[in-house]
Amino acid sequence: MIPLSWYLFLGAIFFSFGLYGILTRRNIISILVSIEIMFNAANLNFVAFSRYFPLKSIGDQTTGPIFALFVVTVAVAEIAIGLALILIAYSKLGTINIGEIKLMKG
Amino acid sequence: MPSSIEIVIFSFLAISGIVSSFLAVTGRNLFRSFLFFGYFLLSVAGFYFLLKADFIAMVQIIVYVGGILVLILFFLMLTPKLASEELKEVRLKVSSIFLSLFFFGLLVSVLSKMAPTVIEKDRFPDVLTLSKILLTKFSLPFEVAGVILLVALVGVVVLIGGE
Repeated sequence: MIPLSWYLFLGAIFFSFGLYGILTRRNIISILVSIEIMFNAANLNFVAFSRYFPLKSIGDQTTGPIFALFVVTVAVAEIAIGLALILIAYSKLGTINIGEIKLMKG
Repeated sequence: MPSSIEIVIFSFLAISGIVSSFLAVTGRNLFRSFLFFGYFLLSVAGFYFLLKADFIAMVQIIVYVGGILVLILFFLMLTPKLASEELKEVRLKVSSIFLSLFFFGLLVSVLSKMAPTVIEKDRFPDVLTLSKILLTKFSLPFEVAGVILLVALVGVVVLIGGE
């Protein structure tokens, strides 16, 4: 069996890539994709932990996959709302580059 | 010790996942970066299969690759002006690299401390157990997830359809 630390290391790598994408991208859709990569890194850790940790009862080992399922649900809702907001912002402002959107600038 | 076939599958999935996620967050072409994102999602689904979590792997393929990725691609194809925008060179590159490396080091240092010893067990919940637990112990979060999806659906219709 693969050691747990390999999965955790890989999840950390994916999370760092997603963070780098959020910080450097200027296109909102690319930022959404980077957020999804971070979600996937967290989900990978959930599932790996649920497989490797010692568990008290038979129900405990389902906690990791079920939590990952709820994370996927929230990610889907977030993408749908996010794309609608991006479309409205583009039709009102004419750009989706976050460097050029300055509505909230004081 | 892990068997050699497991190591081969794991390293193949790991290399494909790392390369595709890196190209997805750094690529200059928007469409190409989305296709690499889809490849990354498939490799994560492969990791779930390797962890014997069949159900969440199928959910990953159906919802992410079949739902989210296709939704974003449709969105881009229906708004060609958005899709043709160039992904510009970024300004905060060096500090972003340092911050990401700092976070990576933080994660590795914390997770390596709490990593448990490897437990050799071959029991993992099948879909039957998972559904039973989901509808008894986790029934309230299940309903809340349904409400979240409904609110997102109605919210999108209100936001877009009102014009």
